[in-house]
Amino acid sequence: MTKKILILQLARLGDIYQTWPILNALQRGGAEVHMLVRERYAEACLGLDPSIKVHKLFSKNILEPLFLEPNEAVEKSQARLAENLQPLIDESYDEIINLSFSPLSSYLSYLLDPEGNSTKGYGRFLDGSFAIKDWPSAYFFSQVGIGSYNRLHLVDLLAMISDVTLSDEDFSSRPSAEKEIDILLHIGASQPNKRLEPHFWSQVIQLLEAGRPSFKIGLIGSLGEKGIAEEVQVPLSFRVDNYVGQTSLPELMDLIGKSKLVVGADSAPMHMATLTGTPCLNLSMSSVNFWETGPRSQGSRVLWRSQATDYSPREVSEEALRMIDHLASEEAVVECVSAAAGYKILQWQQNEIEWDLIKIFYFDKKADPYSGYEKVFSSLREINQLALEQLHILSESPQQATAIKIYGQVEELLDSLGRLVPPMQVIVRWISVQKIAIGPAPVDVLVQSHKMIHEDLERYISDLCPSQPLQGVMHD
Amino acid sequence: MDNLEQHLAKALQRIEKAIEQQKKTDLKKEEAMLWVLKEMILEQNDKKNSHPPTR
Repeated sequence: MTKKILILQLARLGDIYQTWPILNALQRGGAEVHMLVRERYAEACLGLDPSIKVHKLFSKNILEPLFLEPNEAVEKSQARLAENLQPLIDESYDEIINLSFSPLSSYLSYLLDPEGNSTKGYGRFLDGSFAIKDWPSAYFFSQVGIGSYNRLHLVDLLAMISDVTLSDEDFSSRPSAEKEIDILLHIGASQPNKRLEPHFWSQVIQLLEAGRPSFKIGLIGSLGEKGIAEEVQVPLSFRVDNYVGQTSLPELMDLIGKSKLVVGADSAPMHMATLTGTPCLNLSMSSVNFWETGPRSQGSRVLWRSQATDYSPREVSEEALRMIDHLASEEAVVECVSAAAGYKILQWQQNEIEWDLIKIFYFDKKADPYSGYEKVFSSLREINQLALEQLHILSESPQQATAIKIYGQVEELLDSLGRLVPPMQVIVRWISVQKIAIGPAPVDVLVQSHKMIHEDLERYISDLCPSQPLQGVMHD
Repeated sequence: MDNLEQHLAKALQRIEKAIEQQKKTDLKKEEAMLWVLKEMILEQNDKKNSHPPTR
C-alpha cells in the first residue's frame, strides 16, 4: 500500500527549493507526497513533479479577522485556521514530516497529529511542551544556525529527518538546457548583511569585460532589488542583460539553467542552481553558514570573507573565470564534489575542535584525548560531578530542596563554561537538548533520565581527558 | 508606532488574553490554534521566537 506523507515546509523560498530533493527522494521510494507551504512562497513549488500535491497555509486570510474585526476576532481567526487545516486532517496521512524548525510549525504539527505517533521534526507533547522526537531534529535545534559550528548541509539534515538517502538524481529538476548565458550575477540577497554593494558588482562587470569582452552576462534579483540593479554601472560596450525584478521564479530557474555559472551571495538562486545543475560561485561571509546553505551543484565553489566589504572584485572575477575555464581554484574554501556527495575542503581550518566535538557527541566518532584542554575538561568534570551528586540525592528523595536548587545552578555553570571556552558550547548544547528531548514524565523517570545524560557525559570526558580519573561520582 | 504595528500589537494582546484563559489543562486543540495564531502574528512583526517556547 502506498504511504501517504505530508511535508511541512513553512520557511521561505530557499528552504522550499532545498526541500525539492527530499520530495523527489520520497517519491522515488514509492510514497504519495504532499507538502504544506505558505501561500506567500508557494510559487517556489512551481516546477515540482505534478504528482506532488501542494497545499497552502493562508496566513493573511487567517489573521484578517484579528486585525479587522471588532468582535469575536479570535474565534473567527481560529475558525479560518481550522478550515484551512481540515482538508489536511481529512487526508489521514501515514506520516507528517515537519521540516520547518519553527515554533509555529511545532503547534501545526500537533494540530495535525495530536498524539504525535506519525510525526517527525518539531512538535508538541500532549501537555504542550516542546517535543523533539528524532535525533536529526535535536541536532538541528542544538547545533545548527549562525554562530554554531555545524558542517552538515541543510539538505542532508532534511534527508536525515525524512529518513531518505539522496542521490544526484533527486537534485535534478529538469533536463539540462543549452547554455546561452555565460555568467549570471545575483546582485541581492534575502538579508542586507549578506549583500554586496552595487559598486562592487560594477567593478566585477568591468573586470569580466576586460577579460572576456564577448561574454554574455545577466543580472538577476527580485523586484525589491531593482534599485540595486539600477545603481550597477555597466560599460556601454558590454552586453549585460538586466533581468532583476522581471522574472517569475520558474522563469528565473530557466535562466539559471541556461547559464554556465551563477555568482552571488547566499540566497535562493543558489538553491535553484542546485536544482538545474548550474555551478555557482558563492560569496559567503560570517553572517551565513555556507556549510548549511551553500550551493550543491557539482563544481560549485564557495569563497569566504568575514564581511561583504572584505571581498575584492578582482578575486571574484578571476575565480569566476577559472570556473568557466575549468581551472583549479585559488581562492575557494570548499568545492562541491556532487549534489549528493557535498563539499570537499580546499582551504578551511576554522573551528576544527568544535566540529570534532560535534562528531564525537552526535555521530559516534571515537573520542581521543585532547591536549591543551585538560583544565577545561577538568572543570567540566567537576560540574558534571556536582550534577551527578545532586541527581543521586534526588533519586532517593525527589523533593530534596537543596539538591534541586544546586542542580538548577549546574545549568548556569555549564552556560558560563560555554561562554568562557567557545568549543564547550557544543557540549553544553548537547546536554541541554538531551534534557529537552526527554519530555514530560514522572519525577523519578526525569531524575533517572537526567542521570543517564550526565553519566554519558562522564564517559565522553573520560575519553577526551583520561588523565584525571573521577572519584566518587558514579552511583549506580 | 505605525498603523501596522498598532494592529499587530492589538491582535497579539487579544491572542495572549485568550491563551491565558485556556492555559489551565493539557494542550487542547483550541489552545494550540491560539499558539499558531500568536506565532503567525509574531512572524508578521518579525519578532518570531528563534526557538520554540516551552510551556
